[in-house]
Amino acid sequence: MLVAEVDAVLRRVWDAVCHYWEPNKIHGHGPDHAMRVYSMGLQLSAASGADPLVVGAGCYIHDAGMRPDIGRVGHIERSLQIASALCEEIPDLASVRDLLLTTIRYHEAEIPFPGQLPAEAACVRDADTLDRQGFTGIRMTLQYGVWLGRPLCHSTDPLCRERTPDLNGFTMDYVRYLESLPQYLATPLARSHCWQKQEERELYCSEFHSRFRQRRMRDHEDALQLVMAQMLSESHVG
Amino acid sequence: MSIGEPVVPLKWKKYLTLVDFGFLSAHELAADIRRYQINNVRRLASDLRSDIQDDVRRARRSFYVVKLVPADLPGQLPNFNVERSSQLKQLAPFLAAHNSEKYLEAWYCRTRIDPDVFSVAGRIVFSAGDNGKTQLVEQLWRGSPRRLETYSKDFAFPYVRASRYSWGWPYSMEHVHLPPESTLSTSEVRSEFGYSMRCIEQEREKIAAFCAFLDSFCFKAYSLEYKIVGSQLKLIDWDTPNDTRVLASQEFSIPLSCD
Repeated sequence: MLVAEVDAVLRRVWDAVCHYWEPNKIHGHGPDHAMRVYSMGLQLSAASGADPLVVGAGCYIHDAGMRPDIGRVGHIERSLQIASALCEEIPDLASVRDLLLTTIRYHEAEIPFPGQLPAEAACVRDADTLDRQGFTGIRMTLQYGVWLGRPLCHSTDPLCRERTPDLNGFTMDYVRYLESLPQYLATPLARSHCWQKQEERELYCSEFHSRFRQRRMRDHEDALQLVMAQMLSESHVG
Repeated sequence: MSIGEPVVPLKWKKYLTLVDFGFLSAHELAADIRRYQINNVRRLASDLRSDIQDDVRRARRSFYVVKLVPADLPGQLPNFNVERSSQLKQLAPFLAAHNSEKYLEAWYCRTRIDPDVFSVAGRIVFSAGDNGKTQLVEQLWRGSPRRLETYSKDFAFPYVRASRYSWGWPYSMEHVHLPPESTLSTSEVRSEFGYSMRCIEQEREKIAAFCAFLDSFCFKAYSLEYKIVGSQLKLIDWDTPNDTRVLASQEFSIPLSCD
């Protein structure tokens, strides 16, 4: 397919799924997450020679199954159903149906894949994993914590220095847990991008801890303000 | 058929919460949801077949949803939809596909969808959205609300998405979808949606009380599922970011209210 044809199909995919993403802004997984993952996914596909149609569509659909009321629960199954329906609707997707469904089924870094992951699935998965890192990942995790009504952090060990992260217990434990994901990155370009994400996380955690000790980190609002300020500062430097 | 309850599935406890808040009686709930122990699914299949045959005799149409229920999951359970006896042969493969998982019970429920009976189902999401609209409704005609999750341009059901700021505000219709084979016109869909929302408005007091209860958990969003058949509105389910937490608070409150 010509680049323009791929673009046209991907625009059609986005038009069909954007309404699923919109309400999920409430827990940090709104259209901005889709767009960042899409943009990164296409960079990774260009670098690795993966099919941009499959990668782009996979990125646009991977978290479309999230819901504003129940969040991630069952979202992969729902995203797969959405993708299946789109394959019926868009002929160009029908011919890559199985591969597209694989990119969605295995888009989360923690999900083990039997054997060698197809290049397209690796691109979608790495793009999503990268967005879960650094400032963007911290912001999404904090927004999810607010939505869930989860406490921000442990009262004496906020960054799990002496504890195993309790993912359901504290939002900052989940932030620490995300540090374990880069080991799953499969593409060289994603691994190289990850360095910057790690720097962002270290910067955030360092400042978080400092403010926590000064009792200036009282709730998710404070934690979100910090990450937003750091994102703003980063964009000015960039 | 009812069964003894050595372990009450979390999903059933969710339904009991709807009883607690006066949306339906325990008797109505038991009549609406037919429960079977997982080792008795043959009986379920037989009863389901009888119900479908009964529909045929009465010239009615219904759809049935079979659900597999574990002890500890509050939602997103495997579903199997049936409208005709011929589809029942797929039930065994469905059960076999989930054979390895730990389900305690199998349930089924029925919804009438005859062309001459008003039948809609939907979901209202209550949220603290950034656009100020706190109520988002998705509704379809003659189908299960679970189908809302797969809405696309080829969707086989009439469908409406609408939102409003809060109680008392008018809804703004964001999207109306009519499948090519629909017998309803756009204006009929709009009118029937208005009727549905009036049915919901009539239950506002109870719904608002339930929402106030869920608000006490400080969730940013939660939802209620409903169906309206004829003129009867039924609240059939609810979902929150952490149902287990909500139910735990309910269990705690029961002995207190008995004191």
